[in-house]
Amino acid sequence: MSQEPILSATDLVTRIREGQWTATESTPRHLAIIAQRNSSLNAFVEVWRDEALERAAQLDRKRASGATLGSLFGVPIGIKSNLCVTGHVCSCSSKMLANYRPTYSATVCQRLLDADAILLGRTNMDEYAMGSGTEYSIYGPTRNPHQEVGPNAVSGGYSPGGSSGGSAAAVAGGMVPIALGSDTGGSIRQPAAFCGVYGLKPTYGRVSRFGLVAYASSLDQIGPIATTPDDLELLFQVIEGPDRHDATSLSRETVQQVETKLRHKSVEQLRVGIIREHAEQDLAPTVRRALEETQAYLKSAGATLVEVSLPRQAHAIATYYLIASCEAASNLSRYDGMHFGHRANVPEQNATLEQVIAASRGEGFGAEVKRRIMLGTYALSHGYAEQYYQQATRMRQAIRLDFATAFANVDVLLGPTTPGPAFPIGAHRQDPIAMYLTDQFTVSANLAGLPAISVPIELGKLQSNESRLPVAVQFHAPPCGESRLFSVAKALHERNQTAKLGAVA
Amino acid sequence: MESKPPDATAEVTLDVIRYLERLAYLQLSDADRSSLVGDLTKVLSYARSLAGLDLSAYASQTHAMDQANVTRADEVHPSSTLEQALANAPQVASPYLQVPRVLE
Amino acid sequence: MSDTTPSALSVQTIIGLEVHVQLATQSKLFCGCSTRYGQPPNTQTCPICQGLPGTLPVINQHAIELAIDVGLALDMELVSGCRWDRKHYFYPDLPKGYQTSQYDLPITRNGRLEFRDPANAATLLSVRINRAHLEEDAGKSLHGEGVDGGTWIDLNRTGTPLLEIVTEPDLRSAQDGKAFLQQLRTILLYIGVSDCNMQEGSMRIDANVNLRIDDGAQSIATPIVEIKNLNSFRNVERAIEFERDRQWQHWQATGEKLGQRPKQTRGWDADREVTTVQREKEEAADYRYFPCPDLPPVVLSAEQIAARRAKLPRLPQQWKADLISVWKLSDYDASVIVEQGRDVAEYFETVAQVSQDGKRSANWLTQEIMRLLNEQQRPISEFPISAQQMGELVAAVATNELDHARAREIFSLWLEQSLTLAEAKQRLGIAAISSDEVEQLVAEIVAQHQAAIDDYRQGKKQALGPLIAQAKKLNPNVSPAKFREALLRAVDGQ
Repeated sequence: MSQEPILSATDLVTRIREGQWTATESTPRHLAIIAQRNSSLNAFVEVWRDEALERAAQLDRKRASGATLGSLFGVPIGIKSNLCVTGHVCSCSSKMLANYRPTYSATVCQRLLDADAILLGRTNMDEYAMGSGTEYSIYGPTRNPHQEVGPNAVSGGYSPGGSSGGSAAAVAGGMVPIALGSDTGGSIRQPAAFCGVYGLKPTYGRVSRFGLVAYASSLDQIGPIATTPDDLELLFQVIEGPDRHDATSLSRETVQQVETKLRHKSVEQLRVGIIREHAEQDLAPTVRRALEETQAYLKSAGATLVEVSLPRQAHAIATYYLIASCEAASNLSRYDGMHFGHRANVPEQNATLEQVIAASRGEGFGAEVKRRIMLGTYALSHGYAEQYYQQATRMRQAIRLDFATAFANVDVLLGPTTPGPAFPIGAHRQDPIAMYLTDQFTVSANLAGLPAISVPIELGKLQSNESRLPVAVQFHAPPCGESRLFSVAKALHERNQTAKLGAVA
Repeated sequence: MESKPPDATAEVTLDVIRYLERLAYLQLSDADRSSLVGDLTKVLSYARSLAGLDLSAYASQTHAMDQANVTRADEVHPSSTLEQALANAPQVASPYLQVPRVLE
Repeated sequence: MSDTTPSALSVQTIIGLEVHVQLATQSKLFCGCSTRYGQPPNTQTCPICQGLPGTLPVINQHAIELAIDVGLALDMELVSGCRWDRKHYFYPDLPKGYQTSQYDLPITRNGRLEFRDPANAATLLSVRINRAHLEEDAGKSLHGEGVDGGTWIDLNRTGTPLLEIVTEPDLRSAQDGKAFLQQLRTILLYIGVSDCNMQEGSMRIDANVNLRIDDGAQSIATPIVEIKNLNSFRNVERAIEFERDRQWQHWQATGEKLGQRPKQTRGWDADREVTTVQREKEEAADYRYFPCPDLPPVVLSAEQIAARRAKLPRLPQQWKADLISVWKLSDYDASVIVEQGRDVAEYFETVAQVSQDGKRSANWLTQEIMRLLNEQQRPISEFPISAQQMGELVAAVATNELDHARAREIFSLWLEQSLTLAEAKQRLGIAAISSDEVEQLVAEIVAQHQAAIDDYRQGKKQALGPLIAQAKKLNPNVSPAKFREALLRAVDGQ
């Protein structure tokens, strides 16, 4: 078995269910790969080895007992460090929560356990999910498993993207077949694109946020990262669904109503809108090629391609950073060093409570988190809220209406996930705006609450001077249109397999 | 105590940073402060593109979805144990959490 | 104050109140923890009300229903699309760093409440209610308890549902303020939305006070002071009076006007009977309110409101009108009973229904029962005699089956022992006597007291009085009314 290739989650479940493998045999393989590769990738920040092995044995006993087996039976999975699991540190890669152990589990983690998955450990991320490179972390940066080859290679390696870079790198690096991330402005899709794997940001409300440490509550969604669309769908099916602990989770009836309206369509029946404002942007050559090759493929498969306009896209980034920062400033008010988390040791005899709180927050938060708290505090403070926060929420509605207009005419929207492939680690450290711009194509889905998927695209024959780093395209669907995204991704996955064999020009 | 900056289009100065620092209970270093003057200036100049637009036709969208009336029944569920309730407190004087002296 | 006021000046005290009422739900506003009072510290909390990262609030439906009830009772507008906002400030009893409240779209607004003018019982005063909004309570801080004078925090109360009722500044004296609060409390108790237990903090009051000084030429307002956290009506009254005098003296000394200094927050020191500065609100007043993204708005439907209206218990004003029209009570008696609260009014109603005698029922209740309850400081729920039993007793008196003195003997016995009316009568040797027995008794008395009979016949009507007492002595079960009737028949008929 040790010579076998790493399997997808779907295949792994089948093998274990059918008795060809046991969880006790497969789990140590993944632990071994982590042990071998994590020192260079830094994808996992903690591996729950003993617990995973114990659970594997338990699952094998469960199978032997003839009990009904869950749909992720025996599958090892990586958990982003902002998801709570009872008793395990949930640090959000922040000094503030370095030793914080929640006394409850996130709904998604409980659902994974109920589906007989094995939680292998927690993955690296940008502090409080604020970042696009998995560099702002107390654990140091995560590295992208992919590298340029030849003269383009950089010694420090490439960023896996962020903030769910640990999960994306863990999947791309073969450590786990699937992992959970969270996406507030592209934090699943951008690292999935950078790492050459699939990533889905579900419709807002389809996956419970209970137990996800909040960054920007009206934008945050938990979603799957996987190497195949089948695995992506499998993991999504396990975690989605209403939750009485999350008032913003969508009810079964709402989802069913909307899904019924969105008739299932095969790829040849699809009307695909090409987002003009995204395609017009300055894109890296390989990203441009990925977009063109995807269009060519879809056309050849019989889909109808039409250009559509989302006129307010130029305002998306400003809108996003204002809303996200305002919500972040509010959500992060709870870290005062009084009830949990880091408390500064202020030695002065007459230190006021305010000084202790301010010092705790000053020491506990990193630079990017402080930046967003300051921006959010500014934009919410008396006198500015109308010009900044209120305007941003109105623009949000305008952007949402742009999408509604577009979806009146097309089934899915196609565009790039990111303007370029992965950047070298540290490239944007001095320029936060440049970092923010890597999210320019992803933030709109969060603002509008839409599902969006990043699909890696295998390019046809590359010129010797072209980047070897993975590239991806992004599809948006109307609310609750995840199944459309899965079917497009599955078709492109087949195409990718062919492309890998050199059959695509 | 720093006073409020005069208006939202004014420059981001060190005084503005100090004012926000106070409001957010966030202690910054001098280095933090000076880099934040630059960062906030850049981000806000970007954000100001919104401030000038007439968006009065659009309702303020503060939630991702148009939901309403998601409530729970008035039922009591078990609480945490005292041990759990104090588990993450930086300082404990069981059965209380302890915090530094409050000086008014 | 009046002795220091020059006659040319007219000075008015302007008062607005913010009343925080704990709603009578079983569980907290946003989580399933119990709201029970007096439990061991930090045993009624969960990850949600501890504010742990990743937790989310879900609104308690019953808190919304109770807020609707208050809106209906105070004749308020119910806001269909009410919203939840976060009010940000740092304090160790507020684990999330913000309080979830309602800012610009409260659940209900624009109402009014009428109450009796304490200076003139014949007039009603009216106060406009600006709004009533739902919010979560904070935890409890015990200052200076820890080592190095540290503060202890108990989060049991955190997240308890509060309704904050805010009046317009329509009150003009401390006494009016107290009378308003008493009427408000009575209403809240009748509709059952809160136990309004002030010792347990279920009703806490902030008072906004300033003066309007008019010298004939111009009207000057003094800076507004907010007195926080008043926990008894007496403290409200005393604090407002103190503040009125303090502001008057301060104005005389400084001439400081509204707008010349920020709003000041003061606390009431009940031991020293003074208000003291807590803080001047400057930039700290920037709470950065913003809509809570975790909580969808609440949209009240006409059906939902109609359903609550149909279930709304009778309001005190309605009770009073009913007592007057159905049971023919005087305005005074009706007020006395209604002001005692719903339990007492319901007790009365049962007694009156069973006895079919409203006036006698009211007399028994106000003169006997309430006197005892007041002496013992007990609520009527702990009174040993049930309303049903009491009704039977009053009925027996009303139908002349018992005289008042014997009824009181039974009443006294019932306070000690749980007995039926028949058992009590037997225990006390109270038996019904036949008309033959009464006639016999009359014959006996007439024979023994011929002189008194003669006096009566000669016009001394009062001469029969002692004979009735004599008859009671011979047979305690005889009804004085029946004996008198038979005696007159015998004497006048001869």
